[in-house]
Amino acid sequence: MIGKILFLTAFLAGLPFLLAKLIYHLHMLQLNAYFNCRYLGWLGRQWAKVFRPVEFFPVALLFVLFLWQVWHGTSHQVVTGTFAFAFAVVSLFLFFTREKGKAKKKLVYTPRVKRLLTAATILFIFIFVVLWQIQASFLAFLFTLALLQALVFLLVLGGNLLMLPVEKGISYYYYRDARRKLQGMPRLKVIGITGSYGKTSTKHIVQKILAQQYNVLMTPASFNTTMGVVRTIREQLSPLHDYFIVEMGAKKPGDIAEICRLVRPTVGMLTSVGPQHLETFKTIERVQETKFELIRALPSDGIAVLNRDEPLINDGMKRFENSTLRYVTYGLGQGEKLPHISARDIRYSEEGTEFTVVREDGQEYPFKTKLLGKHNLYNLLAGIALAFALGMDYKSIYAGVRDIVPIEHRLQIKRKEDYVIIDDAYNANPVGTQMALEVLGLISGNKKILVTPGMIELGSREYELNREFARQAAQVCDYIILVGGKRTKPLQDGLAEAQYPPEKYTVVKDVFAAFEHLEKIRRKGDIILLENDLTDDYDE
Amino acid sequence: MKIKVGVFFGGKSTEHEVSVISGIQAAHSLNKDKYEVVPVYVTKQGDFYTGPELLDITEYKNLDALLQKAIPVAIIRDREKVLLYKYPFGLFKKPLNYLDVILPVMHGHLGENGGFQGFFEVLDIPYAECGVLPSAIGMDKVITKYVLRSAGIPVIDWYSFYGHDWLTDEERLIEEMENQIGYPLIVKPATGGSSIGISIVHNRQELKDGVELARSMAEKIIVEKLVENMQEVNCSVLGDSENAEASVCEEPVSTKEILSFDDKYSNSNTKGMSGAQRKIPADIPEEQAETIRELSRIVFNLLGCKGVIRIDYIIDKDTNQIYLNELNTIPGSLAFYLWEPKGISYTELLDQLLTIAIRNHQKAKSLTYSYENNLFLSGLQGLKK
Repeated sequence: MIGKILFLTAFLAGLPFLLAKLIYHLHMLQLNAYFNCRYLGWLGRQWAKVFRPVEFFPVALLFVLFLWQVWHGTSHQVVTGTFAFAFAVVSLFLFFTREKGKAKKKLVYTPRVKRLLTAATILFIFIFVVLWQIQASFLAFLFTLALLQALVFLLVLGGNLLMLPVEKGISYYYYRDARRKLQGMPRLKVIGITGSYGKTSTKHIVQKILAQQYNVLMTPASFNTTMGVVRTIREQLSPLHDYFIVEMGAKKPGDIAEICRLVRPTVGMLTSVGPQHLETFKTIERVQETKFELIRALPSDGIAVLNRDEPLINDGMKRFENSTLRYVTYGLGQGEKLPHISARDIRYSEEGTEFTVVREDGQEYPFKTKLLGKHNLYNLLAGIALAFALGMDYKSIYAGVRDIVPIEHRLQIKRKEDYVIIDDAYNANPVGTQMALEVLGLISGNKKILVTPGMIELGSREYELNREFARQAAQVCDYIILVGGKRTKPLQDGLAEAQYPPEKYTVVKDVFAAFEHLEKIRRKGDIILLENDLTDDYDE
Repeated sequence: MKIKVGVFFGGKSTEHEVSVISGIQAAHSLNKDKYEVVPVYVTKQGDFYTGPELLDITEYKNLDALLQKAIPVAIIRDREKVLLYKYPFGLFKKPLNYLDVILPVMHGHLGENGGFQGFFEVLDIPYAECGVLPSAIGMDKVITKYVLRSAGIPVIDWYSFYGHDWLTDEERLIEEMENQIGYPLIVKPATGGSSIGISIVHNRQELKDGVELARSMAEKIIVEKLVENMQEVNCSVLGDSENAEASVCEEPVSTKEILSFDDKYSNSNTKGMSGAQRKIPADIPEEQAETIRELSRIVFNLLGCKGVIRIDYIIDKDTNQIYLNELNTIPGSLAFYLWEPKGISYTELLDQLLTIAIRNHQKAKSLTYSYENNLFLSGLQGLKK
């Protein structure tokens, strides 16, 4: 009797540590987006931290007891009792000395986590019911508990597997619910936007322009998968909306077709096709094919808005010819055949960009925007092309284009008392850097000053790309401040190569020194370009 | 039985935080022998919460935790009573609390522009401070000017337009502003308070920047001539249509050209408007002060105000001309600091505000709103023929 009570106490004492570990691992599973494979990958990387030797102590303890019993061929009350007591003490010790999580993102008790916790508990109870049924010894009970303490991830994995069909069912319910909601809104028009780059900016631009005349909803920041769209529909879409702009991302073939089956777009916009996610797509043709899933999903009276200056889009138009569609193309107008919408007279100033849109019938429409850069011009043309195709009047489109503001630190104009800063500190890629330099070259102003630490994280080509950046900068800049001596070595080499006069540039140790120096040299009317990754230290 | 006072504060407004400070300050100053405070915090999203923890300013450092503790409520009118229900409703819904009278301490937007006042009217509950009409007029700087100018009250010349006009007609608007008024100008959102979004501009470039800033805060924008050699003087009025009294004049002190938001509220984080730097009484001749007080009483009556308001004036020191600049129908800290010199404590002021509210509500109730005949009986017969 006393033995039973002692065992029961030992068993209960082992539970808090198990529960604490279970919750920790559930948290990790949540951070890995509930994917068992990603969670296992995390376990693999963190195994030294996850499987601490000290946590196997209770297992070892009970194993010694087991050996003792086998050796003596019998169980001895006092010995067993002592071991059980030791187990209880060690378990509680582990519980109280466990590492308390100081994670950035805490475990959120979503309904899904609650379901998982329930499933893991059921699994746990099931194991012990089985042990009971086979009339296992008390030692077996404790030993199983100790094993589960150490290998709690098995419970998490098992629970997750167990819940998989349930989660699928719930997702399917949400999907059906979203579809039903959409079907109840026959007046709603859906605009699909995809592309390897430029789709998010284009989405914002289209939203701003259409909002001048219509009530528009767009999918929020990163909700560009089917379930993201489902969530937007269920949580935000209302009968008050005229247009629903859906950004569609693709990580593998069929992704875009899947979103299209749900939302049935009548307008499809394709901004670009580039070599992204090649590890899943393998070839650029399959990227192209996947992006064109959007165009192919359009109904016979649909509108396709396409960037003509993209070779793979031009090519795709022929490959996936669909004559009944209304094609609206845009571009800057190089090449033999003009697009439906093109731009000329592009002028950059400290207020942004002015340009004239030319429609295929020769009609001209001047525009003004606070945005800078060629890539933004393409995105604007996409929005303007769509707005004209939908029959919006010029005045409203003009107002919409004027109303668009740049994203923080993305070629953002900041006017100071008597000089101008072009803040492009978030940009990290060579194409963007080149465009920023192009803007600096074309903008009117007194001295043109570049402040940059150069680009990083470009892999094996980093040196070469930075040297090239410096060579181009040498052609447009009147003065250059390089931030960081060692870091900007490739830039210094590039400037030397371009025979850039040494008195026209300086190397400073950090961003504060850069601004100090800037204060000394800048004059009225200067244009200062802040390029690449200065944000960590620099914020006004 | 004590009178239950619903103290409303917060709200969907740029002055949310200031309102929280003013509201808590008022709740703590109410005479607890006569009144029982029922805090109603309006979140920036517009939801209602109640609970004693809402009266502790330090709790607001962690708003999420505070809203976990506080109780979300629905405000419902039920047969002559205004009730607070926990929302979402429980299984056996019983009201959490009820309100006898409301003290709105909300600055800007719906709390001060007649929106909430209209809500209180529909609830048919007495509420302190101005009704729908003066609130609405006071919150729109352009309408304020039209109304006051037509009544012969001096206001500074202005130009107004909508943000949308700016997008399509920028050049024309700039030219008109330059020709009709000329620099230096002061650009403001037409419907805002607390100096947020206001800029002084001396040239075209600054004007453009100023309009962009103001445009992000209100649909309508007002541009005025800047009085360069100016003195700011404020005066408060307390009362109702039967009896209105003007306070001493104050002079806000600022290092900048106009009193910016930082000057007004950020100097002392816990004191609200009363923490700003000022001279009481204002450094003006007694004669001028009397003129301002008289003007204030006239405007108070003209607009049909009740409760306590603050009127801001600008004096052009070159010409000695007084201009009425702005109306505040729910002034920061309810302008109590202007009444203390007259021997009226904040507690006493709040008591007067609630007394005025209750009496005016009674008065309005005694007006006839229905005839003792049944249109449905007689009228329908008529229709049948």
